[in-house]
Amino acid sequence: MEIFAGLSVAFLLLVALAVATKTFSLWRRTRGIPELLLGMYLMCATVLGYPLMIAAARIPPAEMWPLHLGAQVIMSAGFVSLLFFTLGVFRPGVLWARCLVGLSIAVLAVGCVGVFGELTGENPRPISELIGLTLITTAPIAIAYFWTMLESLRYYQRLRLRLKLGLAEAAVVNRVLLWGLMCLAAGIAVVISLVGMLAGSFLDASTVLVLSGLGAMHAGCLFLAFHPPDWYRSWLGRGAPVEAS
Amino acid sequence: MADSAAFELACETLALDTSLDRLTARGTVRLALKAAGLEARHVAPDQMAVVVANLLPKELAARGVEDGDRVCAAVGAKLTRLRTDEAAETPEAVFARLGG
Repeated sequence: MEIFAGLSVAFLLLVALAVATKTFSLWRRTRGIPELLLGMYLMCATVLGYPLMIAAARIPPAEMWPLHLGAQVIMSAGFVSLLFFTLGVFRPGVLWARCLVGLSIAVLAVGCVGVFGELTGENPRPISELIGLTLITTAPIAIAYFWTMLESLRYYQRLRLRLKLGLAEAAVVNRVLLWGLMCLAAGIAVVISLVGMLAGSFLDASTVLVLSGLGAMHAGCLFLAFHPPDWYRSWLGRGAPVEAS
Repeated sequence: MADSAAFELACETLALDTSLDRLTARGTVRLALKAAGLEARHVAPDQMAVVVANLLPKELAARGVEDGDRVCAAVGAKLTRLRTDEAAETPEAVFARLGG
């Protein structure tokens, strides 16, 4: 079980690093904001944030509180990037979307301040033991993932119609689908982690198994979306169905 | 946000060449675009041309418009001459770049 969990985490980190590197390289050429935001999300929330969170879970805050704070701030920066990515790509200039992003960022900021306050207090406790702070810091992350998922899958439905008329490329249609599915897997993992923490069953074998599976799905979708191997491109090009059946 | 030049051209031509009033013409074209997964705000001339050729005749027939094929051909011809500066950063364009 631990081996599977470790492999799942390692796979996710490697894929996120590869895609982030590729995306930053693309940004240097295009100077496109979406490229920058995607790279920031992957680097902060996954490549750096995830290992820092794992380390923070093993080192008490009293011994190294900057690690805990750093993990929280870097993860938050990653999800702010994801929120801005979804806003800019799918809902540019839409008032309710701007309000959603603004509110989520505000909650994340409150969470970071709360974490700082707790960590610099007299007897700092791990954030996972503070239900209120955990909810505050987790809610915007769940919002970021599920909102991105909804926008992606909704847009995928429209691209499918265009594909039938030859107005879209199969690879692009598939990429949008995989991005949506990736966010679905990640969002579900966030919710399960939260429930597990609150119920005290976060480290149960069944929870770890499910989270590891979702992590592998997260990584797999990310890999196929942004770094597909030749055999996958060929399969898409042969007019393979792009539905998530 | 304003609709695209290609959409406006298609609607204007429909309203002039058929018995459809302006509002009905716009609604008909919007329905055809929706069936193609496109939006009136961002549709490019080449995309509009494909919709006009493949989906609009059926919509016109459903509304009792006679000689719908001739009208669609006329719209298509005008669309090929349309030049626009619109370059919308659509989600499709972004995801196409992200794979490169």
